[in-house]
Amino acid sequence: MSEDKIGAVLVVGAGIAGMQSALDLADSGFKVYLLTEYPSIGGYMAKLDKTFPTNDCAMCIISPKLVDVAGHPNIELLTNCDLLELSGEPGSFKARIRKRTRYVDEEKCTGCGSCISVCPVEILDGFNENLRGTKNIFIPFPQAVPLKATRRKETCMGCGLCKVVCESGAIDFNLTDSEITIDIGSVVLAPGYKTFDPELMKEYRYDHPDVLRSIEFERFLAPTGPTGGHVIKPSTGEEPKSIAWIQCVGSRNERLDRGYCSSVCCTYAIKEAVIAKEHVPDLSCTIFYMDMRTFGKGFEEYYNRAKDEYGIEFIRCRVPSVKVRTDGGLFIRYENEEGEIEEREFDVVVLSVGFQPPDGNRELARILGIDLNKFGFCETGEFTPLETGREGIYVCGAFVEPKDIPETVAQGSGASAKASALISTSRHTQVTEREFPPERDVSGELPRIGVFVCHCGINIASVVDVLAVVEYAKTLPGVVYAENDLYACSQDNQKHIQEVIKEYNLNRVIVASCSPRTHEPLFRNTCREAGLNPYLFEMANIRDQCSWVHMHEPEKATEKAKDLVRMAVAKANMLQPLKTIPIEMNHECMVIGGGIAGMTAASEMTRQGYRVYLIEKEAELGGNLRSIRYSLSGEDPQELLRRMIEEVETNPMIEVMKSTTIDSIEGYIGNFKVNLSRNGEKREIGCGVIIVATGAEEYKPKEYLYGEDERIVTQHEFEELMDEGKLDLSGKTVVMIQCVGSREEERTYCSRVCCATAIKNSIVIKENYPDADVYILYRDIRAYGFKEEYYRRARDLGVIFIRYEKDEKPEVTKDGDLLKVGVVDQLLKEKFIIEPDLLVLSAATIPAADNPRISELLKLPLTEHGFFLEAHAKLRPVDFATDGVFLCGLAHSPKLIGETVSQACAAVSRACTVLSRPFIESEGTIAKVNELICSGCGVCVAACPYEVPELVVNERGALVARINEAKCKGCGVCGCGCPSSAITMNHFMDMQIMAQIDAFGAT
Amino acid sequence: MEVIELKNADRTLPQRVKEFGGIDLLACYQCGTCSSDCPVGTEFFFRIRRIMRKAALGLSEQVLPAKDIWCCTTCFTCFDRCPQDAKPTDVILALRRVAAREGYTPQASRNTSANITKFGHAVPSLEEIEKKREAMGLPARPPTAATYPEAIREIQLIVKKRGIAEIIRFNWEKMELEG
Amino acid sequence: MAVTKLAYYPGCPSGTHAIEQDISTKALFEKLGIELVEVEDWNCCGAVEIEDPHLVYALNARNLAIAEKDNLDIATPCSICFYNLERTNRALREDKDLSAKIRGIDPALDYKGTIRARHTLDVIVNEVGLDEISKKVVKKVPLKVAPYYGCYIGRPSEIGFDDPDNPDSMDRLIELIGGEVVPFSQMKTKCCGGPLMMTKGDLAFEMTKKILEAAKAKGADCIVTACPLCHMLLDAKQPDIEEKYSIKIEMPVLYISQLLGLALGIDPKKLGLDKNIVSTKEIERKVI
Repeated sequence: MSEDKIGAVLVVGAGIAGMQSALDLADSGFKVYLLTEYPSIGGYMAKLDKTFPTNDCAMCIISPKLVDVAGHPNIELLTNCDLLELSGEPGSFKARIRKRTRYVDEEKCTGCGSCISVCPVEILDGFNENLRGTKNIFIPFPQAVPLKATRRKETCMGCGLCKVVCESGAIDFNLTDSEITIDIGSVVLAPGYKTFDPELMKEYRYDHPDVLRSIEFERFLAPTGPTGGHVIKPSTGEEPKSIAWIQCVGSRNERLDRGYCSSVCCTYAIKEAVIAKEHVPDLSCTIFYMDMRTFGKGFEEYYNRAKDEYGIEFIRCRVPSVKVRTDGGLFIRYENEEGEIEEREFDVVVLSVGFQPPDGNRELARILGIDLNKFGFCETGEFTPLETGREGIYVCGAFVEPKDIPETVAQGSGASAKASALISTSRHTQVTEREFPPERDVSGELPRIGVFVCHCGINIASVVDVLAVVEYAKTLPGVVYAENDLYACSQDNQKHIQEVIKEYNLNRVIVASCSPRTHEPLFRNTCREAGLNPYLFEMANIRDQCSWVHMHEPEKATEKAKDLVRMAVAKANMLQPLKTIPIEMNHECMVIGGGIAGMTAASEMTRQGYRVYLIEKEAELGGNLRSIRYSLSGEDPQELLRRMIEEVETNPMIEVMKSTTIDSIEGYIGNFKVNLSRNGEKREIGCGVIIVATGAEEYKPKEYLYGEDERIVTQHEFEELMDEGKLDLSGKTVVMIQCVGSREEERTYCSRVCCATAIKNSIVIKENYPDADVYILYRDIRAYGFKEEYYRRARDLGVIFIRYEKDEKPEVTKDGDLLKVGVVDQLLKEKFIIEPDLLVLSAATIPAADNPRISELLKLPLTEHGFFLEAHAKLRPVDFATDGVFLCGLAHSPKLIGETVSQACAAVSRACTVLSRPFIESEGTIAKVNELICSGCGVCVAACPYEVPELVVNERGALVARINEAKCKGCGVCGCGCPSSAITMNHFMDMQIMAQIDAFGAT
Repeated sequence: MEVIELKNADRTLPQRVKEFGGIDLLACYQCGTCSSDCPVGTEFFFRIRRIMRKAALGLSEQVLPAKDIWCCTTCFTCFDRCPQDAKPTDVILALRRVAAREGYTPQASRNTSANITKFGHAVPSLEEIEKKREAMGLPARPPTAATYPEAIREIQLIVKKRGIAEIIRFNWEKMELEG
Repeated sequence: MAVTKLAYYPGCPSGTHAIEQDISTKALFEKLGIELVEVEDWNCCGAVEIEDPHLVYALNARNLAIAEKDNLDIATPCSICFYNLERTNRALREDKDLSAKIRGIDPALDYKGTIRARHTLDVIVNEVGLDEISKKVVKKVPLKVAPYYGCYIGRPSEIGFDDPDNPDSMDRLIELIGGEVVPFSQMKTKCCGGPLMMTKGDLAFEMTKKILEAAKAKGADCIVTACPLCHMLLDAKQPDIEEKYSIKIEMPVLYISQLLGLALGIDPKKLGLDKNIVSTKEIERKVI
């Protein structure tokens, strides 16, 4: 291996996985080449309307990432490019890349769209799933990055009208493809997936106009889609009255050589049905399914809400075909749960198509020298899901296995950790520091406010009269400029805002659009890049707080939008520039929890070049992994355990502290102080970041006579007994009961791992004792992804699966010395009595008993179920809202070993975006004490939840409160509590807030 | 509701079904595709899915004596649609073979087989047809096995060697079915 | 046109109730210029056998071996025979153990796996081709025709030669000869119940009745079919169905070879049209 590692990474694929990976790497000191074959980054997520289970707008949560990628000095975008060849060795690769020409000079193109409007040729719009046409010269979607036009040569008429209207002279038909070669240290593969083509299942009548693929329906729901966000029956253009979703189209299908499960379709169908109902309230929505696989964090609750609150109908029967009457009407014939054949008509049928490997997968595998599995996805190990088998090339996202967005984002970060570990010694060698223009001194200037009112497509504009708000804004005091924008957050609009700031010499900027929670950093950055202090920016939320909640009252909503803008202007007139200060930081990491998550995180962290303290409260490392003796693929979990324990215990950069508990944690990102106890000994350790990997526990059941008979065990106990040779099951009967303690009133979530575990253990039994009878009693079999194949294996081995209902659970009784399990088979409606020699309960995975205490110590939120609550369910699965603290493993939610490893690597990657900095920047919006007024009463000290203010004797000998600017979170409690009004909250000063309130009262 | 002790289930049934051609019986995951498009299912309560289930569970007393398995027309719609390639049509045929060997051949099939054994034809020559043929100037019986005793003897040899007589309970002395 | 000679497997019905399919097929192929050589001493394909899963393979291995000696593909007009022959062909080619086992029963079953079995409809549409046929069309058959395919033309899809849900080989022929296909897509491949005719006749009648009534309701002048078992139920048993349900249908049912033969100018007697049970006189009259 070459000693000169190159501090750059090639990321192939720019969907959410690729973008997350690129951002983490770029934020950790590495140069990133982000390559995609498409003209824009964004992937499939950019096409979605809303995302489950929060129903967040997909584009809204992804656009800050698009803009981040676009503006990041360390990311070089290679769009419309193909990877041709990779040579060299890990740490020092050369990648040969073809840049396919757009026939448009990217330097000159402004993305204005004039060429598009004059082009006479129409082609199918791939972004909109070919549901409508677009022009031969096009921009895929309004928020595209880069926002450049692309011309398709094959279908071009050659009329040249585009060239005529292009004011920048950017279009040149003579441009040609070119090739470049780049030097990189490692590669991250994130090429994503494509969806199943229903042409392979003609019985579903995809040729009929009212039969749609789910991704097409998604485009109908999206405001930038072909119907402007209206749900229509395509053959008539009217609103449909009934829609059916057919699950498992192209998935779980051995006949089509697609025997795997695509993991996300159950939940996405529920989402589409729920959103469709929000569009059309009396719409009847029916989902035809086999097993409902809502196994992710928050998904089971989403499923319950869909049933109870939205009235979505769920019918458990796989649909064999879609039938068309001679008048064109669609109907579905199915066997209902009573065994009767029913026929139902539907206006629209949506096919929930599964995931396929992406086009070009074989070529990519050939170029990179990696293996594909039998379905064409990337071949990875069960415990090493981010590794391709070739050193230096890592993989993430759907190309590994179909998965949802949170898993994808975690894997994107995880792959970054792997890719950067290889080249960690070359950190910061290829990057450019972000340079901002010098900040303009606006002191002494009268306020010159610019107001940008956003349409947000139709999200705001369909309710609020945006132009009226703009005109109104112009009349407000201090406003010298106001305009309306279609999508204020798009990349080209940032440039535009900067130009307006300069041209009109603005010194305050207001954007009236969506939530500051997602977009304030984006616009603050825009101001900063225009030379304006970022705190001279204010947002008015006229979407979440206006157009979305008042969607049926447009006039009142418009008036409210005007009120909100008036209030923002009033405050803007009072805004002051604020400074942030650099704070020294500790570059060490503490990992709390020594299970597989904690050990993986610790190990990966050292490969990044940072020291780690690994804290474990028990006397032994390993956590739950100690109980897991078998795996589906045959890899040995105990060998993994031994290897990891040896790794962390011999690694000189990891200090392992067993039998250690945490007494208190203080501090803030970059400067945490943790007080530990071990056998009575105390110790204080400082660190810059903390990774919470505290794991979870196996529920000890209260039901099914557990504890009253040694023949009744949990899955963990079964594995231990089996592995230790304490069971002889030859000719015996084993019954497993699923969902014990999960999916119940007191614990509504799904524990995710139990179906795979039961299937795994049933295969272990059958392979060792072929004459044993094994019965698995289940409600839904959640063998998602490639685990579906093991479900088939279990059946082929003779394992019998019996389905029961939540309100008709199995009964376990003792009849003398016999154990009896009675279960009503929901298919046959017959009751079966089984006499097991062994009863194995798939008990729930419950949060660690310690979670509330850790939550208190670290001030971290817990979900309603007691697991830790991450910063954002979809896009920040391993971050906490508190900066500098990260999460991984079972502490987040139940998951399998491979998923835990991905998340642990992800937490490391996220933590490195902090640790790789030389110092921390404090917040600008903090509290300030006026020491002349302060009486030293100490109310603020008592009130502060972060224990920041301290009473000190100042230079004049007065006892005053002092607030550490680095530690203050700007929550405002002290500001409210101070009886002398000695504390001001920067950016939320009394006079600013009073101005807002006064403006609210005015007309 | 029927209560069944699964310890009394017929463990040998899935194995026998596999031997007689229903090799992928256990692949079935009870999705309902087969039952939903079955052309016979719309006529009466014939549900392939349940038959697959009962066969896998070994519920011989429910599946083998019933007339259900003899109602399949072998149209192969379920075979073509089954996502797990469980080949339900082959399972039905296999169940018929198992059922026949346990003495559950339907009367109509037994009659047909008996006729072939006796006359060389599924439908024996009827007197009125013979008269019509003669009236048209044709021989009373067509030149098929019915007319050639050697051919019938060969057929009977096959019936003996394959054990069909035992399956349909055909009595060689009486040249009639038993019951 | 590549094929000029094929081995011909008539199938058991062809000597009896499907005699009109046999003679019309032979007449048609003669007109199309393909020589049909009957498989010598062919034996029954086993139809929907009951007794043993390997019986079908043994029975058909013999037929295939005979045709293979002359290096000719087998063409058969009977859908069930086609299914059994081709299924045996594939199984023996793909499963070496099975092939060895069958060969071990008797040397006459030594089939080496070098030929194919095809349905005559497949040969007509996909080998001869519509262009060739249109050159030979001399008469127009301006009728409303309901094409009934039955089960084995498309199913199972690994053996069948047309689409399992919406086949169109006969549709295209009907249009080629000037006919109009009535909207029959829901019934095209819906089973007629043929295999149950002996054991559950009432069920078969019920299923066939649906097909006849659908064709009648769509205004068809006739039904056209390619399977002798379907034809038997639709045509020969039509009077029995009419009697049982006290309905009148009076729907002529032709074999595709008969309909096509008319368009190619073959004498109706040579097509066996006098042998169909429901009179085809009206059909013949309309041919121009």
